[in-house]
Order: sequence, then structure tokens, then C-alpha cells
Amino acid sequence: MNIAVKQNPLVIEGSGLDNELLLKSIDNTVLDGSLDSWKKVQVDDTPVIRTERAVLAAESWKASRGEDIQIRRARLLANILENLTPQIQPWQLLAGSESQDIFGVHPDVDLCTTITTDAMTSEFLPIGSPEVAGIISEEERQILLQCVEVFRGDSVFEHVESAWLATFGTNPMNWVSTLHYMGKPGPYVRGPIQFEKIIKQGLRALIDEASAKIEEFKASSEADIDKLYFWESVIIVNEALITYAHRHADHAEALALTCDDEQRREDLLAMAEVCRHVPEHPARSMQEGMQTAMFMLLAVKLETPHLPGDSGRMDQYLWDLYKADINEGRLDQQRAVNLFDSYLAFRGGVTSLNDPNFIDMQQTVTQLNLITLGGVDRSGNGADNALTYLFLHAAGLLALPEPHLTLRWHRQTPRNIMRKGHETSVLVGGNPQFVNDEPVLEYWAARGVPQENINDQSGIGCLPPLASNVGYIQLGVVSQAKNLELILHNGHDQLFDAPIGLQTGDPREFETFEQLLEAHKKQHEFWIARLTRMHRISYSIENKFVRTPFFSSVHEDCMELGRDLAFRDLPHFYHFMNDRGCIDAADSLIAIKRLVFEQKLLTMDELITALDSDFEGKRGEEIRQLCLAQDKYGNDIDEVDTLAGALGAFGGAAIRSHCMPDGKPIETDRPGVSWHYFGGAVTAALPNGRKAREPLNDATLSPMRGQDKDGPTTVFRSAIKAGFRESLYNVLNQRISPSAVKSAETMDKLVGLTQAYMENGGMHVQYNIVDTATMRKAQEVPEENKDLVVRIGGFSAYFVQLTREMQDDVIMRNEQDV
Amino acid sequence: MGLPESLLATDQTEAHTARVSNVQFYNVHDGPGIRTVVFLKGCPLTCKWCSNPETISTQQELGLNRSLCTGCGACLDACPQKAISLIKKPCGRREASVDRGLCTDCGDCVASCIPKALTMYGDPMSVEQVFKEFQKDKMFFGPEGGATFSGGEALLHPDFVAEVFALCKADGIHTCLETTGSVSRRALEKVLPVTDLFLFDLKHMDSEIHRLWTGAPNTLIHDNARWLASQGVQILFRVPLIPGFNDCPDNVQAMAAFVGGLDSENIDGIELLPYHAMGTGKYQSLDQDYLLCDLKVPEEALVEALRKEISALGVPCSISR
Ligand code: SF4
Ligand code: SF4
Repeated sequence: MNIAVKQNPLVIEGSGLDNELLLKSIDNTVLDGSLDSWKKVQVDDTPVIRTERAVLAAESWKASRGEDIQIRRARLLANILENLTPQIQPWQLLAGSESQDIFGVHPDVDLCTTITTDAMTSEFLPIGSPEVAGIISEEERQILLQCVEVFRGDSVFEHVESAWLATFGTNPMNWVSTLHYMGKPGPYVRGPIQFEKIIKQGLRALIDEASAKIEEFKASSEADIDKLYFWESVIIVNEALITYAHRHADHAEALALTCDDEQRREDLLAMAEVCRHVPEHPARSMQEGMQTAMFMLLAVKLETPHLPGDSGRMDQYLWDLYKADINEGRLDQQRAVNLFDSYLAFRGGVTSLNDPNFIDMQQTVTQLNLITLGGVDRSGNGADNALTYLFLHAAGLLALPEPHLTLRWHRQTPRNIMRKGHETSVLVGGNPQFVNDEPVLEYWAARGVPQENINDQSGIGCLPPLASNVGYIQLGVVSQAKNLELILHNGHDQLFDAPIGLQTGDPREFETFEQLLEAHKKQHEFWIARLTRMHRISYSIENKFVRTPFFSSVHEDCMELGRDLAFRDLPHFYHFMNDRGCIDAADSLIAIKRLVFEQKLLTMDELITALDSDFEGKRGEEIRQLCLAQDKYGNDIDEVDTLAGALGAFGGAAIRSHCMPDGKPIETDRPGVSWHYFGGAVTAALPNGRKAREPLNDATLSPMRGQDKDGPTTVFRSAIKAGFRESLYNVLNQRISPSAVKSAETMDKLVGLTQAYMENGGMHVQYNIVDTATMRKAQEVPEENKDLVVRIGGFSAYFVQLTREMQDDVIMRNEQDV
Repeated sequence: MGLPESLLATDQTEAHTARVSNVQFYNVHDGPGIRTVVFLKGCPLTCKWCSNPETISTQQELGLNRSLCTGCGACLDACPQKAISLIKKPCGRREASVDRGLCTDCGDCVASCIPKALTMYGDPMSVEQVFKEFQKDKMFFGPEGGATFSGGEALLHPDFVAEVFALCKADGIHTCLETTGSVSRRALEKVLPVTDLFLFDLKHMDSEIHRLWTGAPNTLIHDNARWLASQGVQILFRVPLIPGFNDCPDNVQAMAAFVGGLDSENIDGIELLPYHAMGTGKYQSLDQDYLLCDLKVPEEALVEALRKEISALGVPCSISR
């Protein structure tokens, strides 16, 4: 496919700077001192759990009893925005923070109630990663539990769980080991936010738009009262957000009064002026544009605390403001970098309370929220600009793992943008990720989404790129890896010792590989059908209890149609299922095929016995080595790569054969991040040689850890062969040795590698530069790290081939380079 | 001491096959762009610092990567010579040990070793097979990258190299040959028409010192370098920088003068490859002794100083990193 785009030189028209000078002036910027100190303290900071939002939410809920749910949800958010203590942290150039803490958490007491009750009655309070615990006083725990009580009877959780219990006779959460259900029912609707519109027009215009809609409604013969309530709710929450901004202006002025530092006082007064003006009115500078975006995201987070909200295409919606600032001398590159880093730090502190029952679910302390850079404009012209470059540079300076950045790749992405993206990616460790525009375009076009909305797509969290008018919900995960475990035990869950699956027969009696494959497919279909049923039931219940007035007010289709996104029935709303574990399943199936059916080195019984003992016992290690030695995806071996592709296509088709009550088929995606820890924690030993409870393969198109032996080009060949085009999104994390990106020349070659992968249909890649910890691990478990390569001119060897002394030497040098 | 004629002659193997010790994809250090490098076995030199000892012999050789050995003992019975035994390490682990006096490098034991601790360096591959390996990454080569033959000395198999490169050229793949230069003129003539770039090793300007460290004088090498340059082909000279051997200013200046004095427009200059001891693990896997175990890696500042010195003499010079 060819998108007609013209090459886009990174110049700022009217600035008098040529391309090279401009980029150099950006390259010369440094990390601001106060952000540097913030970065150092935040590493060891303990998250604090706060009750302020919960109390305000409960107070409003009691007061609004009897009103329509749409209005009640709007009043709830308004009460928070009007009363929550405004916050400006000492390092901030942009006002606003959820709490006074670096990592402050407002638990959700009103929507995902049981998460909070479960957490408040458990010892350990997981914040994001299972290693990080939040703190809260006993008294505040009690306050939170009392707040939850206020919502009893009105919480979507309770009603869905009762409906499921009535249908299935058991709580489906008991099947969680198989479904790896992403979360419990609730307001998980996501979609791109209309930053550009609000930055350009201001919330006042949005409120006027809603008022006009209301007048129109009243004058018409329209009978759908939900519309009227929707537009009313838009006015309530956005008036409150304007008040919230003004309260920050007051706060900034108050802080300025007692501030001794001249520069800081100026910054605070400038902030106050900004907050008086935006988000109510159109932004007049880049700082005002960013401040608008910040307030919008704070509102999203305070409305639905477990959803972080994504920043969208920042280099696009701030471009005109930045250009004008530069040309009129109001802004220099260093200040622009400071502003962006301040913004990144704000986003990097966004976190939430995890469900203690799903402790392995997430591995990052912060919540995944995404910034999308580059790509094409709504008419399809290359839109990478100097701000794309500046943001990539600024992200490299701050080097935070979160928020995540996506760099959209298209045929005309300028080389210097790609180069900067890769430099930052090496500095930050896989951030940005590179996402190919073309498969995204094909995917949405095939579903009838208008071209200009697709061109304007942006990513959300760890989830896929969404066309600008799309609404999205992730229903949950179905794991092909877990299902393989189930068919090897006739539907019995090994880890939880429960007969939860479909009885597909005693595998010892299978005579052919085809029988095994058939059983796997049946098991997978069974769980897809089950998850579908659960969600078809919860669909109508969620409609009754969930609304997201603010989020909907800034979503492209909702305002026009007068419909809250939580109804999940807009023309471009899609339900997705996350089909995972395809690679684990393909590698495992191939191992069984070779060992049991072809070479007959093992009987099915011997294999299953070894798996059941987790490769312990007399022959355990021997059998595990046999399993590990079988062909693995990622080595350009046709049979296993095409099997992986076939399993993927099968999963996609099976999912798509089901519809949601809105009549649209369920779609497939395979977003990545850290599900493999959770999926692994509930999966027994597998015939690919992986032990019980160990993580599954990370991402969705990555090879089994350490088993791709010929480097990135070979992995990419396998990935292209496997295809996975039935899925909107696939994630490939590729390990790269530090020795392969040490010099400017080798960095250029990495750029060429990504470029070629994308040109040939690769969807996504994120590079993880192998760190010294990984190398130390490889010294201890060489058999699981056979892919690490040390590259020097005229020499190359696998890390595990080096002598211990040389391994230490490589590790030492790597530490010096960092 | 000259080289035995037989080594300088031509192919050691059948014309259409060669022993390959390694195929390496995404090579970013040996030639421009992203490359696939095929290492052929057999080398006329025996450089003391060699980091690829498995490429020196023309024959296939058994390698034992001890870190992957689980001490399972499966290989013991597989060996017709009874050359393998299990030894107990101080840490209590058992590990295979090959009696090199008994071992004939027949390779029978390799299949019995599931964790692939035992490997055979030097499986024979045909022209077509090697060409296919080169083709695999064609989509990643871009305008700069391509195929590289290395070794050992790939020009011990000039017909093989020429045939593969002819196929590459016809397929639009850039070709690059890494050579010690210690080869027959006929071999160079053979590959010249199908080779886009030579990576030509220079080790020392003094022939006697050269002989002491590499087993051969440098006269043939220098003759070949002059002749290749006169043919107008693109050449990048590569100097492995070995402390105490060739890093003294006199030698470095002489090298720069040599390269600078060549009569060709297509000389890319000199690339310095600082010494490293990463190959010691390979020596252990072959149960061979590494002679330079006390040698220190050259200081970065020193390498940079030498680079500047060469550049100052008008010869473009870079450092391989
Ligand atoms: S290569 Fe042959 S002789 Fe040598 S150890 Fe293996 S089986 Fe025995
Ligand atoms: S070399 Fe291989 S077969 Fe022999 S003991 Fe070690 S792991 Fe077992």
C-alpha cells in the first residue's frame, strides 16, 4: 500500500532556523535541575493511599440519591473537582497533581468497589507492581471501607457477579486461572480524547455546544431522555473542571506569596495566569496547551481512578502553539524541553491500587498511559515535526520507563526522527516503541472507519492504536497456553486442582498430532464462548450502573450523538478479546509432535508425568532439556512459525464468530506489557520446557525467552511469516545486545533494521537493550539465555560461549557505558 | 618460513562445498550496513591473538561448550572412540570431558547431546545452501548491507566463494570479502569480478615480526594488497591492534604510509580493531591453550591517539566498536 505523503523537513516556518540548526538547538538542551532531583527521589518513593476523593464521592452520592445515573455520576465528579485540594508540586512547571505525594493513589470506591474492599482487608496493598506496597493508616482504611458502603447496591460489580452466579452456578472468578480475566466488570471503556478540539476552542465552547444541543432537544420531538441527561452532565462536569483550574490559579498565587526564590515565584505567577485562562478558553501558548491537556487527564483519572487516560498526539495538537511561541520569541527550546519533561514527570507518577487478587497482573508501579508521536495528519500527509523530535529528545533526558511513547512509523517518516527515536529507545530501554501505521490503517478501513479518523489514530495504554472516533473495551484474555495445559489433563486445571475446562479426552489415547490439535482448538473455542457469554450478560447491567460523563464529553462521537461512551453502542464502538499464549502453544505443540508422535522419544504419559512434577524427579531435567531443544518459533523454521500463525488465525476467527448484543462481532487484539507474568503465574509446566508459574512469553510475537538463536533479523522473518493480521495489534519485544548499539554507525543500522521490518509488514517492535542484570542471570541459567550475543568487529559469540572471566568483563564494560 | 604450497593452492574441499563454522545474521561490524557473515574453515596463518580458533583448521572439529553441559552422560555411549568421560568439578557438578588424543572429530556424539553443549564446527555446505543463507536477510540489507565471507581465510576456497558471490551479484546482493591477504594471486583473480569490497587485514609491516606472531611473513600479503589496489576494487584495510605487537608508533606510521602510498582511488582507509580476549571460551571449547592469556586490552585513549596519528598522515581511520 502506498500512502501519498510528501517528505516533511523539520523546519519551523518563519523561525529563520534551517533544519540542522534547529535540531542542534534541540540536541543541546539538558535536563532541568529540579526535575533531576525529582527523578532521584521518586525512584524509592513509597506510594501513599489517600481518602480525599473517596469521601467527596460518597458525600455526593448520598446527596444525589433519586436522580438519574448520568446526572449522579456527573455530580460525583463535580463534587471532587470543586473540593479536592489543589496541588502544585515544587518541581512542576505545569499545575496539577492528584495528591500531594509523588505517587498518590485515590482508590476507586464507587465503580470497582470490590477491589477496594479486598485491598483494605488485605495486609499487602499492591500498587502496580507486586513488589511495591502502598501505605495507609488504620483509620483511613476504615474511612475507605465506609465510603464503599455508600455505594453498596449501586455498584456494577455486585450486580454482574449475581447475574453470573445465577447463570453459571459459580462465580466465574473461580475460573480466573483460565480466563486470566483482565479485570472485573466495570467502566473500562477507552478511546482517544479530543485534546485538539478543547485546546483550540476551550471548555466554554464545549459547554455552549451542550447547551445548544439541549435547546435543540427541547424543541424537537425526540423522546430519548438519556440524551438530554447526557448533555446536562457534560455541562456539570466541565463547569466543575473550570472551577478546578481556577482553584489551582488561587493556589499558585498563594504559593507565590511565600516563595523566596525569584525564578520560582515568576513560574508560579505564570502558572496562575495560565490556569485562569485554560482550559476554559482557547490556549494561547504551548504551556497553556499542555496545561489544558493536564487538567483533562486529571479529570479522567478522578472520574475513573483505575483508568489513567492517554495523552494522544501531543506533537500534533501542540505544534501550532509551539511554532507561534518560537517565532514570537516567547519560548526557547530549553524551556520547551523543561515543560515537556515536567509533563512526563506528572504522567510518570500516575498510579492506582491493584486488585490484591490479581497481584501479578501489572509489573510497573505506574499506570500505563501513552503518548503518541509522529504519523500522518488527517489527510494523510507526513506529520512528523520538530516537536516530535523535541519530545523524543526530552524523553531521553528524563529517561523514565513511564509514560510510554509510541512513534508511529509510516513510509515517509524522516530518517532523523527515526534516528532520534532509536537513540531515546536505547537510553530509556524500549521507550518509544515503534508502531507501523499500515496494518492499523488496513484494519480499521476494513471495518468501515473513515480514512481521516484512521490517519488521526493514537494509542491507548498498552492497548492498540485506535482511530480517533473509536470506542474500545477489552473484555478479557483467553490463553492458548493455559488451554494447552487443560487438554493435556482432559480439562482439569493442574495448578488449582479443579475440573474447570472442557473434557477433550485423555491425551494418552490420542493417536495423531491432528487429534491433539483438534482438542486444543475445541478447548480454546470453549473458553472464548464462555467469556463471550459472561460479557453478553454483563453488558446490559453495566449500562445501568456505569457512566463516564467527562470522558464522553471529550470523545469524538459522543457529543454529537448525545450518548455516554459507557453505553458501548456508538457506531464505532468495538469489543475486543485478547488472544494470548499463541507462541507458547505453538512451541509446545511442536515439541509434542516431535517427541511423542514423530521421533517417539517419549510417550505422552512420560511427558505428562514430567510436566505434572514440574520437571522434577528422576527424568525431569532430561525431559525438560529435550523439550527445550525442540524447534522454537523465532528461528525462521517454517513449520513452527506457520503453526503459530495458524493458531493466531484460528483464535481470531473463533473470537470473531461471536457477537455482542450491539450486533457487532467481537474483535481480536494482542496487546502486551506484563500480562505474561500473570498468565504465567496461573499456568502449569508446558511442553516447550517452561516450568510451572514462570512467566509466559512476553508480548505476543516475541520468541520464547532465550530461544531465538540467530538474532533480530531471524526473529523478524518468523514474525512476518506468522502474520497475526487477524489481530489489530501485536507486540514484539526484541532483545538487543549493548554491543550492537554502541556506536553511531551501529545505531544507524538498528534504524535500518526497524525500517526494513516495517516496510515488510512488521507491526510493532520495541527494543530492550540487554542489561547487566540479564547477563548475570545468563551466567546462572545459560540454557534459558542462548540468544545473547556479543558482537565485536571480526568476532561474534554467544554470551554463554564466553569464559566466566570474559562474561564478567562484558558485564563490567556494560556497566561503565551506562 | 614460507607456507606449504598445498595451503596456498586452492580448495581444500570439493569445489561445490565448503566447511562453514558459523553463519551470523545481523552482523553490524564487518562491512557496511546490515550483513550476513559466513565463516569458512581453514586459515594459512596462526595468529597468536586469534579470537576465532575454530576457523583455523580446515577440518571439522568438535566443540564442547561447558556452560551448557548438564553432565547427563548421554554422549559417553555415543562415542565410538570412548573419548568422552565425565569429570566431577570442585563445585560438585559433573561435566563432560573430551580426550582429544582419542577423539577423531567424527561428530557421532553431537546428536546425543540434547542441550547442544557438543557442537560440530565446520559442517559442509553447498554453494546453493550458502547462497540461500545470504538471501534470507535480503529484505534487511538495504542499499548498503549484504553478504560477507570471512574465516579463517575464505580464499582457501576461491571457487566456492566466487560461485556464491556470482549468485549474489546476479541477485543484487552487495558482496564483501574479509581476507588475510595470505593467499594465491589466482584466488584473488577468481573472486575479483564478483566482490564489491575487500576487508583486507594488515598486521605488521616488519616481515620477521609478522612471521613470529602469525606464522608467515608479510611479503605475499603486501604484494597482494598492491595488486588488488591496482585493480581499482574498493578496499578497507583492517588492523587488529595487538598491544606489544603492532601498536608502536613506528609500525603504525609505516602502515599508514603503506596504505597511503597505494595507487587507487578506492581505498577506504584503515579500520582499527582493538585487541580483546573474548575468544578464550572458544579455545576452552576446543581444549586448546590460549597463548596470550596475560595480554591486556588496549586503553581507549591509546587507540584514539593512534587513530589520530594515522588520520594525520592523510589516511582515513576509524575504530571498530
Ligand atoms: S567427535 Fe567422535 S570421536 Fe570425538 S568425542 Fe565425539 S563421537 Fe567421540
Ligand atoms: S556434553 Fe551433552 S550429552 Fe555429554 S554430558 Fe554434557 S550435556 Fe550430556
